[in-house]
Amino acid sequence: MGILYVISHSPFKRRDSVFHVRMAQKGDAIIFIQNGVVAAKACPPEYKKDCEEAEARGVKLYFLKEDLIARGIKIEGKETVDYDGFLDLIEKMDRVVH
Amino acid sequence: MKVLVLVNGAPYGTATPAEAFRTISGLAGMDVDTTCVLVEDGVYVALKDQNPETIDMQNLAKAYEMLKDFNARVYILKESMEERGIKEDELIPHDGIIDRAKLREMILEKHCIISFVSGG
Repeated sequence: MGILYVISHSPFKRRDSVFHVRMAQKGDAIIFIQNGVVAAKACPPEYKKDCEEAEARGVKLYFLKEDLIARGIKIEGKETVDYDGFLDLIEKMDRVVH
Repeated sequence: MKVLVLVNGAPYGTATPAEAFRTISGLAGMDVDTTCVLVEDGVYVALKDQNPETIDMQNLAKAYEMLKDFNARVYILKESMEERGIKEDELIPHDGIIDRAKLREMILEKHCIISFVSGG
């Protein structure tokens, strides 16, 4: 049983999505979409630490490809998915929390 | 149909917790099994000593307390309370204080999750 958490705002503008990052457990996934994708490049220190801790718990982090390309954000070593991949994730997971 | 409403935003600064209240009371009023969890700054909604008459606003704590009359349940996230220095005796009557593990179980057992998140 897994939950997909969707984050659609920059962690620099809004801290409230830290709720999703801290909630996620092994078997869950987080996808950053829209302005949330800026998190792929950099995050405020505390938010970054929460993301790293989530990954250490076995949470998968994804970034939406179309939103990265649209914003000119180039990243390496992070998992990206396109719209179809996003839909696959939604289908695969038991619940989606935005 | 079981619905879980997550309220992630403090009262009065934005309309978010008030809009969440309208959704929760609306669903529960139509006999939908409705559970609300106050998370992050949403826990401030449950502080019992609110006196928003000073800013010409309606008392949201009293509104959330009234949700039990619609058979909606209100839970508060323990970690968010602790992070904000809020103690149990400062809260309105509620259905329980739950931790993240319990909330995760709740999310998985409901059919629909609705998030209310304040911007800004």
